[in-house]
Amino acid sequence: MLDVMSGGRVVAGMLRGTSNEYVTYGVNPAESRQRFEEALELIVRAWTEPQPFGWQGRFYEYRAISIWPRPVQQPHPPIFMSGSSPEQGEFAARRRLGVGFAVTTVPLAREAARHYREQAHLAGWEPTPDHVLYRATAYVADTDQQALEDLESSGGADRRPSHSSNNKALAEAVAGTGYYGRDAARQRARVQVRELRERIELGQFLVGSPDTVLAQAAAIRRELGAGILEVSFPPLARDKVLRAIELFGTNVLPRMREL
Amino acid sequence: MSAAWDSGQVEAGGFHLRYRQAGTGESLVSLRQAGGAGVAAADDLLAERHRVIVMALPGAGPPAPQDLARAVAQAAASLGVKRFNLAGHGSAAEVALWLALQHPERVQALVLVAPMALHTEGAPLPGDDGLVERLSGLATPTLALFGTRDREAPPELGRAYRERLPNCHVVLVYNSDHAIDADRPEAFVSVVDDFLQRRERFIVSRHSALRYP
Repeated sequence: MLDVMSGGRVVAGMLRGTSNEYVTYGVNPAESRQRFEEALELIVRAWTEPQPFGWQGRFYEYRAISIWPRPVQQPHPPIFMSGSSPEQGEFAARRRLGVGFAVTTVPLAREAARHYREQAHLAGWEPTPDHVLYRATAYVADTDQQALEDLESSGGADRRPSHSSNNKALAEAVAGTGYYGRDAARQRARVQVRELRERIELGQFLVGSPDTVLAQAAAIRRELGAGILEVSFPPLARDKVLRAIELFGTNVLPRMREL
Repeated sequence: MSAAWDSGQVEAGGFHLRYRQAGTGESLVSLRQAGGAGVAAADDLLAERHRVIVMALPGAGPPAPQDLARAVAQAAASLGVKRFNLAGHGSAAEVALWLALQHPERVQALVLVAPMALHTEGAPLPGDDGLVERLSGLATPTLALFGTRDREAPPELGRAYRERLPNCHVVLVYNSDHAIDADRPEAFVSVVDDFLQRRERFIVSRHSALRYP
């Protein structure tokens, strides 16, 4: 429906879901990867099958699936999924899907992007920069000093803790189910709580003057080969956030196109 | 627990048809290509609720599918089976379709398993003797199953069956190759059994979402 309303501009981001979400919805995280893989195949099939069909899956069972309206984009809208873990990078490479990196750091994402490209090469294709997305928070002010002061004085850099981030036993309970794959330690490092300066250094948070933020975006482009940067702005006072968006739109974004 | 299977041979229409049978209940005649009459795990599960008669079709020749269909109908009669459900695996699906066209009063429901009776666009196969144009007159409730990993009868082929058969229901079996009943026996038996019991009503779920009364 969105694809029809937008004239074929939907880009689908398919995510497995965080361990918090599995806990909240009472779904066993140990089966999350298999469920995700089946669900993705089922969704693509629903988008592309012109006739109603039933589905005898491992985790999903339906007798008659028939979606209306059909997507405008043919054969179907482009799909991105998280590429942060090696398992997901391999799956995306096999399926020729784009990958996104979020809630991570540039060094971790760089390794994951390298793995995805290697796997795609083995599968017989080469991802372009448009297949790689990086997501970060950005805050732009007139100067670096101003940006840091705004964030530090407002608490806008604080992240809300998840149910498990400040309770080691809960974090272990989730990890013990096998939610994380073969590089569990790295995956858990992604969600570790960090100080503002460290987040900036690791490319989780783009902060500073337009020149500084542009340089950070350039580093992401270079290190990851990411052609798409997805930014969100932190919850500061309205005038500060509007100013940050304006500076990003006028002094960063136009120059990003030349990176 | 596996069912006790009898095996035997029937002379019908000039063919020797080998069969195995087990179970009690409504009869399910299951047609397989030559060499395919071994008992699969799925047959054992189906035999818990049906009288399952697995017949191996002779492969050498190859005989005309219409003639084989007549022979199977005779063979079923000589085994004392008047009305029955009919399954056709792979290229045996063509024989199953002919049989249903020849004896619509005897075939209660059809199950086509990774069928190879139509091309992707619904065009007839080489040597087709008018099967395709007759399909629009076949009212028999039909379930057509395709494995999502099958390259011989790819899942996209399901459309052709939906378009050609007026009462056909396509179900895709995830992570299955061509031998659906061997790859995903539980998933296969569950939908086949439900369809044979309820026919078209199988699209309505009988599961309750109630967690606690």
